[in-house]
Amino acid sequence: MYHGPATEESEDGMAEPIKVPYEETAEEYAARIRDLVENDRVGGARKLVAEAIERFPDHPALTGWQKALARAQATLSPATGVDRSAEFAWIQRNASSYRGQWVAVLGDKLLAHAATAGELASKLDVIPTDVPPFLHRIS
Amino acid sequence: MFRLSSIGSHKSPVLKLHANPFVEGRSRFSDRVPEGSDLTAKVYVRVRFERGRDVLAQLDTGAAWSVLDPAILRFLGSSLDWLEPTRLSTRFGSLAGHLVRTPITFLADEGPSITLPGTFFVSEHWPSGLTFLGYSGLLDSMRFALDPQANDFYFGLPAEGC
Repeated sequence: MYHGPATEESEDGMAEPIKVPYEETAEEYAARIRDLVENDRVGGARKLVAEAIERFPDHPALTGWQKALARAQATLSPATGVDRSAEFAWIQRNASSYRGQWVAVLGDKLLAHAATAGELASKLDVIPTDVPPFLHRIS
Repeated sequence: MFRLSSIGSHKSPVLKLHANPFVEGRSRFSDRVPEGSDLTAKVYVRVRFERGRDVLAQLDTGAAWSVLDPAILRFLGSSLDWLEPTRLSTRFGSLAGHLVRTPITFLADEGPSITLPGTFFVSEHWPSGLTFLGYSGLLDSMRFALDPQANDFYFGLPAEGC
């Protein structure tokens, strides 16, 4: 990291230190933020991203971090919880037949099963339901 | 001190703190996955991702980040926001992945559910079937409390101004 020349000539010919303020770039800020994030130092990363954004508003190297580190805005949802006792009971009864698979269960009925989540998602796309099924990978 | 209010109206808070509303939503959590052989009780809550994909996710207040089961990505649509590539230290070692943001809904059995755009770490090296709800960018953006004896998970919006 280069901070400029260390000394300059003074009138008496003696070398004197020069004070060169170091301007951190947006990319250097981003690297420091990443380092803090990867060490679980989220509080420090949040402070640093705030400082960086103040100096480099809307800089593409920083906006992703700003978003990733922001506290989320929670809102009330009209969604309602579904009692999944029947689904859990079905999985307990039938787990041995579907080990390693993804299952979509609604009530005490198996809607679909597949080896991968992608396959299950494709199957569910053509099975409309009023209530969302419960999805689970049986370990 | 926490007090339970009367159960019924969605407008009245479910849980109060010093006579003030604390949270309004409650759901029953599971302390193990349905077919699980893990003898150690944990806290699994029911959450909904985009397109009505309901799954169990493990609450982990000790984790700095939430981790999204990479298979869940297959269920999601356009709302997934890829943020920054990063590498995190996990129980499965140091994994390369991305931070992503996607809406997640905490489903209430009583009172209102809440939705928030949660930040998750996702890595193709993370084993399928495990989604963890961690602190930063998710749990630190809401209020919550647990009653381990009753398996109740209370949750709601954060205090105004927070």
